[in-house]
Amino acid sequence: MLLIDCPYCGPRAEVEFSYGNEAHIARPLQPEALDDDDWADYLFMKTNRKGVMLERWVHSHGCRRWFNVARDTVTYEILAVYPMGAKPPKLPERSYL
Amino acid sequence: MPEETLRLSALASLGLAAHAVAARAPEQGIALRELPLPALLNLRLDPKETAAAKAAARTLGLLLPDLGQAGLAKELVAYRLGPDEWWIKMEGPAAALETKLRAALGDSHAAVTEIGEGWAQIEVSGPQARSLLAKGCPLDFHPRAFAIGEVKQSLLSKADAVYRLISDDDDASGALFEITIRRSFADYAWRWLADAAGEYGLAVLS
Ligand SMILES: [Zn+2]
Repeated sequence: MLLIDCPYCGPRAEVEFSYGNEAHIARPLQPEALDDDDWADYLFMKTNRKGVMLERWVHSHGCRRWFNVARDTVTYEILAVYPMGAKPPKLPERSYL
Repeated sequence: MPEETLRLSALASLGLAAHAVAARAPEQGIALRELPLPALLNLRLDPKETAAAKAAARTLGLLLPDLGQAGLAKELVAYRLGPDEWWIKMEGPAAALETKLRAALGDSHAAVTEIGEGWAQIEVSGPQARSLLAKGCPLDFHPRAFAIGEVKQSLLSKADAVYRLISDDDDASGALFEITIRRSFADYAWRWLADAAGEYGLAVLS
């Protein structure tokens, strides 16, 4: 089980949170101009990185706020938690080959 | 807000009054009590907008509490639920305070909403109160992690719950928690608590 450090509530058990997938994906400015492939790409195709992933989480059974998490998808280590709208902090490079 | 006379206990179907007692016996580790239905206001404002925050604080007669904390004033309790969200609980109907708050906040970017109809409250007390809640909630209920005056939102088994520690005595009376639960989950929460309290001995207080 992960212990996630909610920016507002402090460290809480993973069961209180919901996962919101990859962070920092820009919504297309003109969605009506996209064809189905591009729209599907925006909606469903995530980086699925083996290493440090920037993700969105929501403290759904706590304060109900969204925030960003930098998590290593191999070790599950959480490297940073930062608020919505903020740029990701500088993080160590990690590669798993 | 419905007429007071139409407000029915969220636990009416359990018939609690039939086996309620005045006090917990010393050998019983837990006491449960249904609290009167709360009069609750939800207050949303950005505390960085100091004029609005000050107006709200002045109207309520308290400093808006910090994250994770409850604040007490004459006849009301304020719970901090998020960076820009509070609950105000009071005795009696909330309409008068709702009007006063709205007037005080004027046209600042804030919202006051009466939400009491959606919630019910259960009081859990006794020397085993912390152990009981730890069985159904991932929060740390150790006294060094959950202190008097703290408010935490989490789960009670599968239901969302807001916990507030009101008092805590080292002697036989133990801790006193107030649990706020969605009204439609009150029956579930009570049954869960009563079942989990079985091993400690349960008193239902009137
Ligand atoms: Zn939180």
